[in-house]
Amino acid sequence: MNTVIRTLQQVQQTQADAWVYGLIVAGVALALAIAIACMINWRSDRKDFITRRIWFIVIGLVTPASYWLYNAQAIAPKIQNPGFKNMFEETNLYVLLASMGVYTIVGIVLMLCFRTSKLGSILGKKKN
Amino acid sequence: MRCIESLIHLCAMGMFDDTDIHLLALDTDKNNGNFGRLKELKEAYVNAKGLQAANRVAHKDTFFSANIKYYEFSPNYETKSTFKEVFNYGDTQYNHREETDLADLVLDRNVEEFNLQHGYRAQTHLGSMMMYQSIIEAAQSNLPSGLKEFVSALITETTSGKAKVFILGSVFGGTGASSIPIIPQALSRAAQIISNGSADILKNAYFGSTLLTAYFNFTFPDAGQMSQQKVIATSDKFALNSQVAMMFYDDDATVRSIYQRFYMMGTNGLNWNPMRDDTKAGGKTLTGGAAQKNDSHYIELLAASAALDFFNCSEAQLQQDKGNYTTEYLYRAVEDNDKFDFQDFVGKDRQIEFAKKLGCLVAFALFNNGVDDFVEKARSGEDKEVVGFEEIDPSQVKYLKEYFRLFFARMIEGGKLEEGWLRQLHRSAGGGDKFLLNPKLFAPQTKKELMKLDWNKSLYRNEGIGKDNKYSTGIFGSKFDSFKKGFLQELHGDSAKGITNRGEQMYKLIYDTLTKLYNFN
Repeated sequence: MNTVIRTLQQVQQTQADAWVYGLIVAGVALALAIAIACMINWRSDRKDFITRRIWFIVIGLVTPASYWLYNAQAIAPKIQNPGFKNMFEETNLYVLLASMGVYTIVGIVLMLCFRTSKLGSILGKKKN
Repeated sequence: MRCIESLIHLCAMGMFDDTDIHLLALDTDKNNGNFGRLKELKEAYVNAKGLQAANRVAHKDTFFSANIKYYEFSPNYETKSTFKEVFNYGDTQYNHREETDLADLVLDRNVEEFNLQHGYRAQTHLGSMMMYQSIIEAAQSNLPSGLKEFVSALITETTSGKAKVFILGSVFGGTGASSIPIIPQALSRAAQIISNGSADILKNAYFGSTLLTAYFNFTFPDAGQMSQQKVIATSDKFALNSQVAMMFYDDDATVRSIYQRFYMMGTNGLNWNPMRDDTKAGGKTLTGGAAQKNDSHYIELLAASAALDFFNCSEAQLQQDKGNYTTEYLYRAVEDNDKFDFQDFVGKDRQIEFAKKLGCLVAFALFNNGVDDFVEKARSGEDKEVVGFEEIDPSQVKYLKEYFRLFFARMIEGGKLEEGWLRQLHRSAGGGDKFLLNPKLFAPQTKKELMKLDWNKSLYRNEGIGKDNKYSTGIFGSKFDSFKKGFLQELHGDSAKGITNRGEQMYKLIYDTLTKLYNFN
């Protein structure tokens, strides 16, 4: 898509797309984190949860940030009007924060729901 | 003693489900190394079941299912250590000359004068009389003793039904060979004394025993030892002793009228040296004592399996034999290929159960005493997902680990492994793939090598029973990963709900996990 974005309507459509794709990215990141958590073996030294936690954090940062970077590098330059461009960049930032927030909150809720699973182990020791 | 060790290991596998077993360990040499090892094993077993004796009960379909109550009895030969001293020969020869004449007629001077603290030294004609006398004296004594507790328990059992009494021992040695013929009468007489004549054990109990013929040899004593010890058991006489004993058991009407079953067993040679580490003996023949800690042999597992068969045999059949004063003589021959299979020990009906329970106990031992340290990490809370086991007493876990050290292998200096019971049995059977499980299990010499072993698929041999009982871990998986996943699934079930001790609940969950992992369900 090499279409130049000129009108307010086009910008608003791009913003809406950014939100939708941002949420999809959060979902994909979460699915990826779950898959990787399940692939990491229970280990004899019981330190496996640290590996899962690191992966969860890295995926939670890298995936939304990649999408933010994509928007900043590939979409924003197509907007000719600097005002519209600022509007989109602001939206892009919100999408970044929202996708990270959704990823974190939904991830933690799932961890609490499946406490003794590999995903749940990311939380660490269960309080009795 | 070593037969009882094997019996306890069968109990740990779960072969005696829902059973209360009263074990009386009888030995003249109370400082004997094997007696000591048995006590260690018993302590480990019962405390792994739970530290409170009163709360221990039998369970079903789990490890450590039988409730073992242990008693021990040793005749006291510390102050009076020879036949002459025990029977006050010095005075008797003046007061009742006919008695000492009779003794001199059947016992030669060396037999009358050797030290009894190391046992009866294959002098069964002396041993039977001495053991009977010791049991009666203990029953008459006002002092508490393991024997009195055992006999009291036997009286209780026989009042509510018929008890099954099984005697494990050889026919070629000293204490066991001396005791098998007289134990039923001695227990019966002791019960009469303790109950003031109301208990009749001979009538209300079934009796079975092993007739275990010669299967090992040991260093022949030198001339110095022979002259010093006066009487010493030598293994070159074991085969002859066995032959004479078998003739006695075939011929003696009293013995045959009391015992309902005899399990005859032996090996085709006497090549087994139970003292592989001869440095403890200093090259000498050990008559007994703490240094006499003989290695275990597969025939002792066969003897324990005979006890299992006796406890499972039909009461109607035993009653019929008892009524007719007949004794069944049972034996089993193994295949000519020199390989022992599960059915050789427990018969075709129970071979799969035995394979399942032995294999799963080995896997439990490896997951527990290896790097995974499963039970302790759950107890300490280090395993964050296996929750709810923090109330297990640390000592209970310590005893469980001690049990597995005695069962399979213990680690010594430099990470090397010292043989436990199962490894000794494997060696006694000829090593390689001759004994029940996969030879790979017995090859590692260090803990590191053992932990590298893929026991998820190398637990059983690649032929016969167990060849299909394995589990795969996938490309990225590990044997511990699959085990823990399975355990966490079991943790949410309610299979352990009838068990109150948290440690035993865990064993039950591990049992269920392993039997499913190895496709036994």
